[in-house]
Order: sequence, then C-alpha cells, then structure tokens
Amino acid sequence: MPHSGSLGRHVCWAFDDPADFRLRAAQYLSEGMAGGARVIYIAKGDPELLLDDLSIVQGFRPAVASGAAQVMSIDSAYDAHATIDPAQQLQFYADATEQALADGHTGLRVAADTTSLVLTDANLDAFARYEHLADRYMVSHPLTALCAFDRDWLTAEQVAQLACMHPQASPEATQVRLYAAADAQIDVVLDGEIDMASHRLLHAALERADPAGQNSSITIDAMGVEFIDHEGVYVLSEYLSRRAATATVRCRPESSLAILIQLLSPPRLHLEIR
Amino acid sequence: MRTGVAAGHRGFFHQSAFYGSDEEFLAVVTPFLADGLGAGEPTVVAFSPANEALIRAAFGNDSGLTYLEGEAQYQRPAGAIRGYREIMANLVARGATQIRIVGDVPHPGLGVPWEWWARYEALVNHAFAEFPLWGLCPYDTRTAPPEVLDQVRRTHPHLATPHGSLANPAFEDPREFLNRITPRWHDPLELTRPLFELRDPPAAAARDAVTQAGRATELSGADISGLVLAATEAITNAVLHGRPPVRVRIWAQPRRVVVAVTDHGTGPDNPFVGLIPARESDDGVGGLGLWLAHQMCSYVSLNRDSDGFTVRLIAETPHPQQSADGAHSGTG
Repeated sequence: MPHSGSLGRHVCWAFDDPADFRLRAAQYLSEGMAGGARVIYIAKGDPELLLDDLSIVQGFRPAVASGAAQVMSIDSAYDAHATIDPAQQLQFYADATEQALADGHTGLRVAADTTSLVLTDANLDAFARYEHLADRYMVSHPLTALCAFDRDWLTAEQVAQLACMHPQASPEATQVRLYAAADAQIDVVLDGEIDMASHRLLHAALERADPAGQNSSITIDAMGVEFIDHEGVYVLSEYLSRRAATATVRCRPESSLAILIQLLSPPRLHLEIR
Repeated sequence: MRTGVAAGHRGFFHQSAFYGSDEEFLAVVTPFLADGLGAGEPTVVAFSPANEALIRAAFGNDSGLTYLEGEAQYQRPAGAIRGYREIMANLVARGATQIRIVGDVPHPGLGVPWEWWARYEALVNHAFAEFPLWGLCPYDTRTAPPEVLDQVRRTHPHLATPHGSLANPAFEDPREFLNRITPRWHDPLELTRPLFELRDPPAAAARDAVTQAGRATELSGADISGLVLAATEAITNAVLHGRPPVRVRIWAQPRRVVVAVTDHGTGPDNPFVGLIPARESDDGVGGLGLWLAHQMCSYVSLNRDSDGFTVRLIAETPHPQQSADGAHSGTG
C-alpha cells in the first residue's frame, strides 16, 4: 500500500510517532467530511485537548460545533477497563452510523487510536474478533474506519494480529490479510504472502474471523494471495476440518495456491481457477 | 493369480535387463509383454519413441497393450511414482492380480541427470511394494554410462536375461544403497558467480530474488511459480530442520535457473525423502516440502558434503529443437 493517497473503508495504521497517526487521521477524516460523512476522532485523553490534534483539518472546529464532527476520549467510545464484547461494540458503531444517516450525513467515518484496548492477550483476541465483525458490517453499511495502533506498546506480532483483520494496512504491518467481501457469494477474502513467518497469523485470523462458523460450505476469494506454502494450505485445511466445513478457493492459474491444491488434493479445498 | 517368474511372489517383482541391440531388446521385452497379454494381465508400456516404435512394429496397434508416453511418464521421478501408484491402485481396484509395466528410465545417455533416477530405482522397491507388479526396466548398454549400469545392478533384485530370470547377487538393500551413494552432481552454472547470494534470508526475500532471476529468462510463469515454491519449501526445511547459517545462491541462464539452498546440518535421515510424500514415508520430518520440490522442478539434487546439506533446484525450458526430438539439455 502506498504511503500517501486515499485510504479505504477499513484501514489498520501502525505508527511509531503519534504525529504520524494525527496526520493520517486528519487526512482520513478530511476526506470523510468532504464526502458528507459524520466523522469521529477517538484517542486517549481529554476531548478538549484532542481537538488540537486535528487543528490542521480545515473547518474541523465549526464541524464539531455543528455536530458534523465529534472528538471522543477512548473511555467514552469503549469500555476501556474491560475486554470488549465484539457484538456490543459493533452495535455502538451501528447505532452511531444510523444516527449519522438520520441526521442527514452520508455515513460515519471514524479514526481511532485503540492501542490501550489491546494490551493483554485476551483484550487483543476480543478486539481482533471485533475488527472482523466490524469489517463485515462495513461492506454493506456506510461506516468507514482507520484503526491505529502505537508500535511503542505492541510487538510486531501483536500489530500483525490486528492488521491482518483489515483489508488495508500500513506498510509492513502484516504479510497476510483476511477480510470481508462486498460480493455476497464470497465468505471471506484472503490476501498476502503466507509462509513460515505467517502460519500462526493465518491460524489466528481464521479462528477469529471464523468464516465457516455459520456455513459448512464457504467460498474464499484468494485471488490476492501472492504466495502460500504447503504448511499454509494445511493451516487452511485444518481450520476447515475443525469446523467440518469445505471451501471453494478462487485463485489465479499458476499461483502457488493453485499448484498446491492440484498436487496435494486436500479433501476440504476445492479449486476454482479464475 | 500371478504368472511367469513372478508367480508366487508377493508385491513388487522388480527386474532389470541389459541390451546392446534392437534384437536383444526385443528378445527380452517381447515375451514379457506377450505372456502378460496371454494371461489377460494389464500390460503397460512406457517407452521413448524409438523403443515404442519397435514394440508397435512387433505387436501391431490392436494388441491390447496400454501405451503411456514415456517422456511424460518419466519427466520426474516423484511424478512417475505418483502416476504409477494411481494407475496400479485403479487396476487393483478393478481386480488385477498382476500388472506388468516396462519402461525406459532416463539417464545421462539420454541427456538427463541420473542421481534422482538412481534414487527412484532404489526407492520403488519400497514405494511399489504393496502392488502385484512385475516391472521390467531394460537399459541400453550402448548409451547408459558405466555408473548408471552399476547402480542399476544394485537397485534391481532380479535380472531378465535371454536365458530366463535370475536373482541378482549385486542387489543392495534400498536404504543402505541410498545412504551410501554420494551424489557428485553439480550444475555447470555453479562454476560461475551467482546472480544472488543470500545469507539467512527471510523466505520472502529469497522469493523476490528467484522471481527476479526467473523473469529475466525464457522460463514460463508456471515454471517460475514452481521454482519459487520449491525454493521456499527448501528454505523452510533448512531453517526448521537444518543448522544455520542458511545460504541461498541463485544462477540464471536464458533457459535455466538454478537455486542452491545450503544449511550446515546433515540433511534428512530418511533416505526416501523427496520421492514419496512425507505421509507415505517412514519419517515425515520436512519430507512433504522436498516431495513438492521434486514434483515442480525440472531437476532436484540432494547433496551432503563438508559444507553441509544442499538442495539444488533447477527450472529449465528445453531448446525448441530439443523439445522436438525429446532430448533434454545436458546438465548431467
């Protein structure tokens, strides 16, 4: 993904310098405002002081005054003292999206530094599950979000576990992505490079997104898988086996995934060359 | 009910024969095939075009023989094993009590490196043991080098001669044979400076280098994909099962890319590694990745020396005139 340019519906941004996050958030929310969305900026601290973070966004203070923009402390948008409940948290944003529409906006756009919500294993696990639920909601509702995480507080592995649940992520945050598709025939989209550096990541992402949780016959869009090794195919296969499910896998001819499915004939994976 | 000299034998009856003329070839092969057809046994021929023409001339086109294209069947040993196992499983499921197969195994006399075919000849004693197979491997003494003929004698428990079948006293236990042979093979390109030399690279960096090397050649996209996958599997094995440092060297010519992955370990203990999938071998450690490499590359060599264990992976596209006459370029 390029360092500059327009960011998409659901982006993970891992930052080293808070100024970098503020710049991305400002750009992301400006584009939202220009498109008629209500925007919300969420970070740790006093909302009055957080307003200064977005001083470079033209017209932000008047937008706050009119209700077109909001600034929230992390504590008021999330229960920062407990592990989040993914469904409940999604409901918060679904309600806010509906409210934005009811108030005459085209939708809702959020930029949030949620680092403080993922500092324990249990919190990170719940948050990553929530990220996928939110991603599914976003493909069919006018909610967009920039989810930012501070690398000072997280290991590269933890950042990757969060980033891989987004269709877009900052450079080098993750080498795998598992996310929802706008196409109703696709249960989940898999992108990236899967090798020994990312087998555990793929395993965790599948468990958290759980695309076969409700459906024993799923379709995976793997057209964007640039590489996968045989162990990666087994990670996919074993996930399906735990769910007693099968998957049709859409992939490119001559891709490593197509070659491996043809050679290994894993019983739960069916190839669909596109 | 098995027939001929394999009557009463359990499993694979693995036989070689040596011939120095078309007449000697036909003297050994014709009765093998005629007796199989006479007994109603599935009888399969996988020869190069010249030997197939001799058989077609002798038997006609409606003989009941099953012809496989020899060059396709013997493109890679891991593929030959996989292909023959599928054929035999189907035939046994349909009631075959003996299957006869005769074929030309490639060697440097035909422009093909021998090492992995030597491993094949030893390994099939194990890999085909569950099938009621009588396999005949005739070798042409006019073209096969002495090293090949010597190793053929050590890997076939039976010999077919004009005077009948003999137990072969030179036959060695396949595991001992495989542990003993020390491949001397190097690709000639290795005498030149590598295009890339990487030490302990992340697999993704090695993939980028292999892809870059491949794109500057005439290799197809499928060949490059296969080589990238094989190189990743070899590096993964070196990291997980070998000893550091892991060195990756890449050479390229217009029609060929060579990737050598070296670690400082001693390599897999299982002498059958690479030619049969790990789940079917006795020791699955790291075996499936090397089996995949053997399925996808034009050639794979496994070499132990004072540097450690090296997996050589080669992707090659034949010269147009060579593909027409079936010869491979001389990397042997």
